[in-house]
Amino acid sequence: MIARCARCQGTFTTDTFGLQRCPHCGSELHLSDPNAPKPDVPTERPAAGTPGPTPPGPTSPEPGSGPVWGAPPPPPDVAGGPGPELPPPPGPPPGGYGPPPGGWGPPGGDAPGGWGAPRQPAESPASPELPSPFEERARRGFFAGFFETWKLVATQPQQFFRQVRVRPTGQAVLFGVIASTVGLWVQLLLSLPSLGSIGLMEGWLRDMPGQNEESIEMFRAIAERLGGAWYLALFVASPIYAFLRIFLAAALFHLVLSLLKSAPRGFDATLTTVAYASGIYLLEALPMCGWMVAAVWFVIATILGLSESQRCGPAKAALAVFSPLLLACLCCCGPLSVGGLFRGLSGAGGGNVDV
Amino acid sequence: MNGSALPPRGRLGHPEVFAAIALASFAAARFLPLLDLPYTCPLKRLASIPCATCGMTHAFVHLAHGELSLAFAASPLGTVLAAAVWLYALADLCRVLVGAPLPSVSPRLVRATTAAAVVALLVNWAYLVVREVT
Repeated sequence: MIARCARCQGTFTTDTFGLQRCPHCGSELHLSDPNAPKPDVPTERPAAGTPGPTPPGPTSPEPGSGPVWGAPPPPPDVAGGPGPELPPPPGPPPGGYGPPPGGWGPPGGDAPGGWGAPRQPAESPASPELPSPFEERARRGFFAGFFETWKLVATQPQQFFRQVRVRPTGQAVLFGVIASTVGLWVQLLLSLPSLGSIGLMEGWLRDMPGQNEESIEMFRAIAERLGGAWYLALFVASPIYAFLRIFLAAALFHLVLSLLKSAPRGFDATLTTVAYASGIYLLEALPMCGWMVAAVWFVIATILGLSESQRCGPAKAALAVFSPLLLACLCCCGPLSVGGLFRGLSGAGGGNVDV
Repeated sequence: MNGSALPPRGRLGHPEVFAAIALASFAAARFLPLLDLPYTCPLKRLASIPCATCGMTHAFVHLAHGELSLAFAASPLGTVLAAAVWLYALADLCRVLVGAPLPSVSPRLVRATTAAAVVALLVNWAYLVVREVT
């Protein structure tokens, strides 16, 4: 019998029913015996559109019914038709899945399990996966959904990524691409006035005594690179660049997580995390140091997000995020020392030692 | 274990996105004047030592123009990487056209491939450094 953990979505085989412990994340789950006498409450959901008794599961969002947390995570797609028999989803939390009294408000509210609710301990039973406010933008409005999601990613990444649903990933990628593109566009617009000043600085540099031709050439290259068609190309290519950045970063992080055996929820969880965290790049719109703030904030949000979405802990998540930098740092020492050794040897042999 | 969630037959998923990125890299290497961009590796400029990915742009561009020896001379790993990603893109394109299901890849194979890639990167870097300083 194959069972699926409701918390980490990992699957494992077991021969017994009852209380089980997930070998992936260690959380406890209850496998009900299908041959056991059925309770009064029906366990099968009625077909869509057919009237029937309301199951104890989550309620479906209805237009105009106020803030609703949305449906539980859909069953994962499995090639070749329906998958093996899986345990029933966990029961509803106290108070049900219905609209939380506190809504999407700030932390400290009394909404049980809501985005703004106090943090649950890691060992607690699995909380249901929720669509992000951006996914509910048809009901909330585009800007409200966008900025609510951005606020959650930026200020409550652990809570957000613990509960946000990771499939399908399209909405998360769309969110990341929109935010990154807006940041890049504003950054480009802000750099417009500096185009003229670069040419001006080139003139000043030429008049200054002691300036070599190399630095003047560098300024000219920068001015040419930022001007005219190149500028327009950057503007058009910004969404493509944002898209590529999300997918390539997610692929790189996921490879490291796979190497560490710390990706139980698959590539979808990594991609969703990186895509939502890329929304931080909206801060690139800030003049001067915006890109730096955005980069640091993105790294922090991604580490916290991956640790929650993949249930791998912050250490492994940090290793996954810092791995490119770490690899470069580790390897830099090797080439530098090897280079120094070779230069020393060649200098000893040829009589020319570079200091 | 039923493996990770795979896109149903006939639907486009993440493998197709990466295949499109690979095809875009071929188009860029083949048709854009990438080697004319005024760019020098910062590590090479500062320390006169190539970085791990030095020469990969040249390798991609030369291979896209069918210049295999020049590509290998620029970066052996870059040549292998370019060939691998473009072959992957072609294979995935054929798979989508035929409608075949995505072959399942075991996590063990993914881990082994990742580890091999890291080792290959280090070996390639050592080769570039030794070639540069000798």
